[in-house]
Amino acid sequence: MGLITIAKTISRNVFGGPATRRYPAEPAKRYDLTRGRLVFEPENCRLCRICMLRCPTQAIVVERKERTWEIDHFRCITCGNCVDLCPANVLHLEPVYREPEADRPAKEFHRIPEPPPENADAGCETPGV
Amino acid sequence: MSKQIVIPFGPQHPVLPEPIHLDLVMEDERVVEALPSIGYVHRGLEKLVEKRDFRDFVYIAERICGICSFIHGMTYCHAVEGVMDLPVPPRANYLRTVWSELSRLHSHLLWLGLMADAMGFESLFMQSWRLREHVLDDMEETTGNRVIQGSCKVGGVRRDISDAKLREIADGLEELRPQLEDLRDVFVRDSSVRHRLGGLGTLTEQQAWELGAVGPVLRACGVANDIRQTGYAAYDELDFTPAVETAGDCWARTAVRAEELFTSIDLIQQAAEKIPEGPIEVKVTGNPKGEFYARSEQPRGEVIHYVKANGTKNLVRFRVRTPTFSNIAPLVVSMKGIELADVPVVVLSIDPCIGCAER
Repeated sequence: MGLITIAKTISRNVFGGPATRRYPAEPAKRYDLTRGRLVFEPENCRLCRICMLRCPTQAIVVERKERTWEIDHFRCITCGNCVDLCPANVLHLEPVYREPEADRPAKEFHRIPEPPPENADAGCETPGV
Repeated sequence: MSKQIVIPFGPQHPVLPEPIHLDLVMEDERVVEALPSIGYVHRGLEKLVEKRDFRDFVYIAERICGICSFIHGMTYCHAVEGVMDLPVPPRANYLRTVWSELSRLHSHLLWLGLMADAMGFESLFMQSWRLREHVLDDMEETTGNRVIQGSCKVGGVRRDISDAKLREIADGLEELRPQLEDLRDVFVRDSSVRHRLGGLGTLTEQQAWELGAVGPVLRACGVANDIRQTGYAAYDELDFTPAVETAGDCWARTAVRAEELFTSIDLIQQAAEKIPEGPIEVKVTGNPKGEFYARSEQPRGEVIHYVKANGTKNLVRFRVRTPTFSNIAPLVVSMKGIELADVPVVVLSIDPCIGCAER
């Protein structure tokens, strides 16, 4: 029994090809749902602060007065909680991971553009947090 | 009586994936007593529950462990749902069961590889981890991450798996079965493995029961104790028999885990056939008030999550009793009388997860 098992394993290893990928010559395996990196689109942000208040690691800081949105990527665990909760759908996850970074803190900073005058007072409430 | 000396084992040791320290009181080459000390990776996650919304804490509860993460998140959700008396939809319960069993598969394959590595069987280690990749791919494809899945939430699950995809996973595992059987045969029947693990770190059924052993350590001593039999999630609608061995040694623990691979595959295949249509979550309104005690079966044994809430969005108390913590006392007893060279294998045989044990 032992010899047969060994022969099977050896033949699988010799003729079956490598179990790993030749990354980076071949692209890394990824799926549509892979939680790679968090992407923020500042144009439609309503500054409701849900992402900041519900982030389990407190990686996001939103300042309403200064109209800024900031994330510390070293704190972010890409759980996707903010993506699920964002009422304006300005956050989404991409399946590609962020590039390695050496500088600490790895912060990403956005200034939210002023809304057009007719929408100036719309959507600035923080619904049911 | 020869002179006794104390040899420190750990917290950094090649066989240990995580830090635990043992003071080994030795007489020549034999261990007379082992004194464990833990506390190297304490993170204060239980205290953090007072600062986070109970709905968001599931992501932190998942990070108690880097291997059996999904089951920690699920047990936390069970506890909060128990406090709030939330009816979880049947489909969500089935999906939780599927992900739990995928977690168990990958955790056992990881451990079998580590065990092979600890006893010096390098190629078996590689074979185990190669097969584990298939399971991790299934998890990433359905949840978005290989290990920390983040797919459980209070009131249900965050993502659905289509029936076609579930059948594909079940069929993929069926294709994997012959390779897993080959792997199991090497662990269970190979003479060098039996020689290395047999009769090592033996516990009797009485000792294991009295010392509070859980999971495969207890089942390897002949006690058919499996928390999945209590019927949480969808386990009450699925048919399975816990794997049991009677020898109580390192070999028996390995055999139990190797056999559980097939129990998990059977459970996933049954779930893929029986899964009902319907919603995957219920809306959570209000805050929890009260206390609840949730139990579930981790790959390492029984885990208990206790939560206490006072009607605010932050819980008052969160307490976890992890399987590794329960298994440290049986480990210390089973180490008495073994040789120093066997210590790494016996320590690994309980599948120590110190990140869990210290939180």
